[in-house]
Amino acid sequence: MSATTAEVDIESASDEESTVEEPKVDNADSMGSEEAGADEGPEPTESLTRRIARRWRPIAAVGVLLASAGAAAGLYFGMYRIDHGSAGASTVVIDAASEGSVALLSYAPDSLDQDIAGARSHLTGEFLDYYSEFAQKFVVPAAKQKDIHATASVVRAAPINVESDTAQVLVFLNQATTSRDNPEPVQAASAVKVGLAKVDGNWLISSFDPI
Amino acid sequence: MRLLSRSDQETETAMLDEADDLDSQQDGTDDQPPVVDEKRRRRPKLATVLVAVAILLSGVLLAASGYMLWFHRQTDHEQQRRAEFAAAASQAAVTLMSIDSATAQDNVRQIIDNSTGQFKDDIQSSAEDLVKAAQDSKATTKATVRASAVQSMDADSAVVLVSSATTVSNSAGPNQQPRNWRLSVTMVRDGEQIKMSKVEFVP
Repeated sequence: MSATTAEVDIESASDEESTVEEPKVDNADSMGSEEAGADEGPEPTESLTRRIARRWRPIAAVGVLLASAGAAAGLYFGMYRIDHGSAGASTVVIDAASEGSVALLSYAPDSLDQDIAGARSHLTGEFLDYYSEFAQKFVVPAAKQKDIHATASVVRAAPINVESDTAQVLVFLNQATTSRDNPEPVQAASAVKVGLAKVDGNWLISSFDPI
Repeated sequence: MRLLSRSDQETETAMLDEADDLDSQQDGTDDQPPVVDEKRRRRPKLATVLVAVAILLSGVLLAASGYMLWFHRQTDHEQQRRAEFAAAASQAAVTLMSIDSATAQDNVRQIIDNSTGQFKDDIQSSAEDLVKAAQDSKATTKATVRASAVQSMDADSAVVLVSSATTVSNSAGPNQQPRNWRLSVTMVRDGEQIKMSKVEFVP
């Protein structure tokens, strides 16, 4: 007993020295709660902090998890969806602007109703109302009276800016027009700033400004 | 300590085991199954699993956050470059198309300064004629850009569509009807500056 205990005593003594009080107190506490429930009474706050102290690992882990989940969710909804939406939208937006512009400026007397309905399907908002009125008042009578055939084509198109649900596209358009008085096609070149808005997942033209 | 606990003193081994057990519990490892209480044994085990899962999930979420931040920087950077190229092309178009007969020499020099590659060579070789024609015209042409948009872009060049208008005024008539132009301009990064390397009038 003599030799070993002496060694153990020295070791444990030095252990206690290094980790001063904690192990002692912890020992006393656990023994108290295990052996007698009466010990719980006197200091409930201390036992709570102690219990928290003993479970700091899971608490910290949950804290880190909640923080990283919050950060990820915040970034996703506040930033990534918008970034991702506008990054992928460019080509779709250009196509929508080009097709819409061509539909808007191409018509013939024989297929006027179809042409105008087709054009309307590319438009939205106030511009849709404006065009509907304009088409009925001016395009239909003029096309019928003068036998106007108009064919538009897109020469070049590029995005000015693209947000997640609005966009502007610069479109270079050529329109060839023939009429009863001028059977030879007349070429008109124009540059148009086309504004678009995303409505129910589709990009529609909301403004059309020749510049 | 373990070697010591193998000594023949039973009481002492028990004491030592208990001490060891307490130590190991504080370290979060439970390789020494305590004989006494099962509840005390099971609790840290569940906690350990939960902690591991939480740490793993946190890692995945942080990686996702990192990716989203990277993506944001990337899109930001691209948008900035787009804006840079568009602005440079607009400026270059204005410089190219604004010519004052009084300052023709300077105008042409500016155009050359803003150009690079084949286009620069072309302008340089015809500089004298250009200056002379501008001086003879006795007119001032002012250009404005109505819109510009980057059609395509790579690391250090871009094709930019520019819609511009010019108004000519001379001694005879004041301002005439503005004339519209559709340009396709190729811009190339040349050191610090972005310069014009090709101009095409879109028919």
